[in-house]
Amino acid sequence: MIKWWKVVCIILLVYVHIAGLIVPLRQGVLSIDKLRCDAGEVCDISIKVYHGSYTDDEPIHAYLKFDTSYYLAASRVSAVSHNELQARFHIPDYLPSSAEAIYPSLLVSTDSDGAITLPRALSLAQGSETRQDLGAALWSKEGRPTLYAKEYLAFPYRNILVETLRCLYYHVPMWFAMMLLFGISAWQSLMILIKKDWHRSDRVYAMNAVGLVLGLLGIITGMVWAHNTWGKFWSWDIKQTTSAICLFMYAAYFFLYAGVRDEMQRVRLTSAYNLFCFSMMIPLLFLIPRMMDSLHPGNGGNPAFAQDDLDNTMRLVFYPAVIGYMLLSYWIADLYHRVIKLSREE
Amino acid sequence: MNWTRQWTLIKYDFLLDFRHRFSIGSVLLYAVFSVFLCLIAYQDPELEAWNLLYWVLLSFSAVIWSINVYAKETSEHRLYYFQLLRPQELWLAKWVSGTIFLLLIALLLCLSLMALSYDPIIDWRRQLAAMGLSSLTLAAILSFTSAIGSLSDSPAVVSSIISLPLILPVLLLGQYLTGVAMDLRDPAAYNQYMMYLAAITVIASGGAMVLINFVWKN
Repeated sequence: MIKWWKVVCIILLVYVHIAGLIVPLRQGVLSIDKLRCDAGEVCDISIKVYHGSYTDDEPIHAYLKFDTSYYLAASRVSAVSHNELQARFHIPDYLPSSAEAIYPSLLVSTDSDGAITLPRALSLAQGSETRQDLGAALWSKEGRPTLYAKEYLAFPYRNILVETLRCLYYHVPMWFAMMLLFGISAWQSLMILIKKDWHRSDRVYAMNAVGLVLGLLGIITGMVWAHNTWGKFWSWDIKQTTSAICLFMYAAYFFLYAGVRDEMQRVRLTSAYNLFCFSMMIPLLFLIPRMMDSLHPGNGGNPAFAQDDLDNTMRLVFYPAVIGYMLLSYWIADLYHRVIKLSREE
Repeated sequence: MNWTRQWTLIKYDFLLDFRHRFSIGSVLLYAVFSVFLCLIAYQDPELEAWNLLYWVLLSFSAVIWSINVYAKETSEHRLYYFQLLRPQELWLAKWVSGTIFLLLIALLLCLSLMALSYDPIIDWRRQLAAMGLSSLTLAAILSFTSAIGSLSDSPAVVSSIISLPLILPVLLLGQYLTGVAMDLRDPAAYNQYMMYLAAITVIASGGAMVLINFVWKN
């Protein structure tokens, strides 16, 4: 007998894995080869683009944009390849600012693909002799170009993250599913202790086993992600540390389970330990990392599910992924519970 | 709760410690031995290593102490306890005596490390506050895990394996706090970390207080 939620689970997971891996990323500027240019010089910049489709057949525009209203157009932009552009800027003698250096953004635009940007792309330096009024006149000469962002089905492009963005659909739902299983097992333990429903203990064991596996997978996917974005598999970030501690706690549960032979005694002791672990886990995972300096999204003042990180296209995959992984993990735990029960009856 | 009874029980626990002074003494001796052993191999540890040695040795001594918390009595004695006392009362007595004993171990470790290498501690007030609060937390967690362990088939193995992950957060915060006292870490977050440690103490002691009812039965 197949229950309806199992069908939902399969459909959601198939959808999540196809959509999450196939939908492309938007175009974006990966990097440029210059860090600084001086006022008054000719600045040749080689621009590397992600997912570009540039050719010389269509005119390409590039701009340096400063302070929302000042645009400096490139005098010549040519496509070296689909993903590489060569742009030449004639930087005027004065900059539209009284500061010695400004950090303009770089914009690249074509009529068919729309505009992409690299914020604070490089620094432009002028001497200590600044003329803001002259600079303003020189920079806004050509007026504000008309730019648009092309609308198509794609995940947002984020600097540094790039393709690792997709990790969100797998890593985060795994932790959510683990929390669900540990939550259910804590509830079952509570019922065991209060109502003396001894038969629930196999369920607790199954939930914890599957939850621990999900937690391990979560920490491994997190490490792979961290390797690509933070630079190291393990950087002793507070979130990494506390989640590893939580996994150690739950791993110890199984040793306790194996260490008590008397059935009644075992059920009581493991349930009490399980509840104790759960109550220690909540502050470790959700309180302490939020307060301390952490690189992890959602902690230490970093954004997580705000508009900046999760746009509407990603929500279309992320929410189904959370539900799908929760259902799948519950399903696996349920099957494992039945296996344990059967092997006990034999 | 009957406070006179509780007080009697705490006093009785100290008396019991005194009667089993060899078992308590063995933990103290273990602590000094391990300091000696580490410093034979590593005679002039840097600040970072000093702090590390202190916490590693403290956690292992504390775990070794915890194995014997509930094992001082004979099994007949224990049956007598089951009938006579509420489990919380017993646990509370163990918590109080454990805090004092762990503070003793912490001081002993600190002094012997200082005697055999050098004195890195600049702010003794902060060091003592950190040691006091972490002994309180360690005793709360360990007296609970030890109750679980003592009822299992192999108390030593089980109580050490379930207590180590649970005391990891205490070490995580504690090494920072004593690090501040020896000018190794940024002192700005000291009060905040003390607060976290206090929060862990509250959660652990609350959890133990409730759950010990279900554990300490036969």
